[in-house]
Amino acid sequence: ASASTTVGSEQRVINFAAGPAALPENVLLKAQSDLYNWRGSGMSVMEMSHRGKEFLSIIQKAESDLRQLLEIPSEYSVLFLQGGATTQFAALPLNLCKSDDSVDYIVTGSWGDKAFKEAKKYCNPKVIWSGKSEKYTKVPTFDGLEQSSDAKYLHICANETIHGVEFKDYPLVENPDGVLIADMSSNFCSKPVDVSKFGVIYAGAQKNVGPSGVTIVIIRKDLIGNARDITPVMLDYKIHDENSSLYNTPPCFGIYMCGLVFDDLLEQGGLKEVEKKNQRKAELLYNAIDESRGFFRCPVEKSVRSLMNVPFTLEKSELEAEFIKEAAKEKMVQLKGHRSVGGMRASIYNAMPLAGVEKLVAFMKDFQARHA
Amino acid sequence: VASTTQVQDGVRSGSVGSQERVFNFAAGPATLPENVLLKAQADLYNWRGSGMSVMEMSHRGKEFLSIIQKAESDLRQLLEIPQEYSVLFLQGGATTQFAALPLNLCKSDDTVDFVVTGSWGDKAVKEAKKYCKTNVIWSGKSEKYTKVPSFEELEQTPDAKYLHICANETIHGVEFKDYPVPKNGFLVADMSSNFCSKPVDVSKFGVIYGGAQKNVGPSGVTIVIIRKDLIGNAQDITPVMLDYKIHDENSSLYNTPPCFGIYMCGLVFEDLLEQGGLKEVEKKNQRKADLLYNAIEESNGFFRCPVEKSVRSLMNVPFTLEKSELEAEFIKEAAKEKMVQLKGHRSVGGMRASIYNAMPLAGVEKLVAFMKDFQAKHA
Repeated sequence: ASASTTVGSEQRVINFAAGPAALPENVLLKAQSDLYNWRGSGMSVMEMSHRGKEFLSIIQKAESDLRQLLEIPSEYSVLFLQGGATTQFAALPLNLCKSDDSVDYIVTGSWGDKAFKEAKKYCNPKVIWSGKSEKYTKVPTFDGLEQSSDAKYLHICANETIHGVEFKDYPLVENPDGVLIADMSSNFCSKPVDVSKFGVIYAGAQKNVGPSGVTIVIIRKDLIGNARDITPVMLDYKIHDENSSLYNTPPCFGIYMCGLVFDDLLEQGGLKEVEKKNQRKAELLYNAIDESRGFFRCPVEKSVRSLMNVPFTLEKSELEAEFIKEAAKEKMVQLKGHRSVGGMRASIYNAMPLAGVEKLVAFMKDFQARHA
Repeated sequence: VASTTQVQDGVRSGSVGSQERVFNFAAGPATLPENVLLKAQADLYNWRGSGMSVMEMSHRGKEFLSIIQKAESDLRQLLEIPQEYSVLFLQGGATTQFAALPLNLCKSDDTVDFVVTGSWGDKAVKEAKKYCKTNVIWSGKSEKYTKVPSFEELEQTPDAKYLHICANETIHGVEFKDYPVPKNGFLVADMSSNFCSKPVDVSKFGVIYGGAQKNVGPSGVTIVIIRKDLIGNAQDITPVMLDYKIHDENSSLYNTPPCFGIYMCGLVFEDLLEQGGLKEVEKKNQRKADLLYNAIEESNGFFRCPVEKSVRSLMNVPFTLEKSELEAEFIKEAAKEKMVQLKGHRSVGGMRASIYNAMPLAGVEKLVAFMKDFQAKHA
């Protein structure tokens, strides 16, 4: 295994994809070794009945480890669902609102905007702040926000994958009966979070905690059980909560992979330690950009630059294609920015090793030296 | 070098693994073909020298695009899907489709007909009631879901938007061997538990849908085959992720699809083609099912299958013991012999052997031998 790891490492690319994204190497190797026969059970995790004792132990441990990582209070349920965060854009208002309820959205990027648009089908959402006019490079100061007095919830996207904007702190909901809801798809488990500040946290797994096909919802139990009549059964939180996410067949292998990742994060010392690593990687990259005297630029306001997604451009934009191509030759792949933004984007999730960011930074300096 | 080493390890492990592998009669998730598992294992860490796992690839990168396009192409070949149909790779299981179908195909005052031959067809009706008017034109409930109706006797609703059937009822083991012709509208079939187990004339249907986790892959992938002219009329309340138009226009990549699951389905489709396609696969399935049903029939009543002979499933074989007090012992002893997951669904009881495509003949042979031995010991 050690020899294989060493050799494997040499062949492995440095994958800056935004999601699906790099997974921890040791998690991949463990999954590979177990794939054919999980722990002597005589079958793959992919072949197990979701109601058998083997898979029950897998999903229960995944939940238990996640609760430990995020210190999730006992008054919250943890759901392992399907359909991505996009399905939750509908499920949230369907479960939490009546059709005439008001809901507030702070839109700091494309994903918050999509969540708002989907909610219009099911309730009365209002964008109380949008960063669109400044091309999604900021998060608002919270004291200036004009919240709806009766808003059922206030929705934020905690980290905007495309624009690289991240909440470093969270607004308080003015309506005493309202709750804060956050899409944490692209910074889930990248740092400690005080879960008790939220009514719901939701996230697609495929950036920081597993492969695509698993969506995690952490929801306060008192918010469950009020779904609209038009809610599809598979979008009804009560159904999933009462059935421990096993109402129908869950995405078993994906949940198993998340479980391995949670295990790995705990072995790293938990999320405080993980956050330190993430801060170190991000600072290395942002410093390289800022110290390039304008050759590279990141448009995001410094105080809310994402630890996870770093968008940057070249002053000489005509060199961007060459930058991306040359980086790929050096086995640094998927650096092209999102099609709606352009430029470059380096997604440096938990599983991106420091060595990967170091290599990118060295390449950036070399590229600048050759094209200054 | 590492990749080669891993492949070799996989092969060696395979030989040993075969000896350690159980015969898994689970209803879903279910057995996958051994060679597919070994290939997935070999490729898991580094797919074809790409330097990354399939689980790590951008769904919009050229590697994954080639994977999903080939999976679709191979599926089209297997089922001979006409070009006027779209193939969608979705999430949420067949249960999500119970809502998506009426949301996409009906207005709220449209009527839909249901032939209910088991629990899954029944669940589909209940979900559809939220979105349209439903009419159960036939139900096998009073006879404990052991029959399929003769089609002439069906009193179809004259303006029904579609007629829905569950082509194979996983729990009760009832399978349509032929399909009714709707008087109005089109036929829709849930084929979750017999998908790709035999050839199907896709042109007889408006929509075919199925969760992948029985015959064609791991859980987390749902396949929808839909005539293109049926796409684009979703009700306003339809969640974007349940809107067929969105998925069709975006080639199932509107948001991040279940990439690894789709890759696994692709490996299975490839394997089915290598076996000679679905006519050959059906022959194997018939042979396995005949072996097991014959063992039940020839047991002089010691074992019983309640399903009417003409519609017994090739995929899910429910059976009971005349001496029901021996059932727990049967299941336990079989497990000791490495034949696992034979307990029937909790709503039915008894035993159920799910013998999907990937269950080898040797597994059914072993089960049959065990049944005969068990009977000899307890007659």
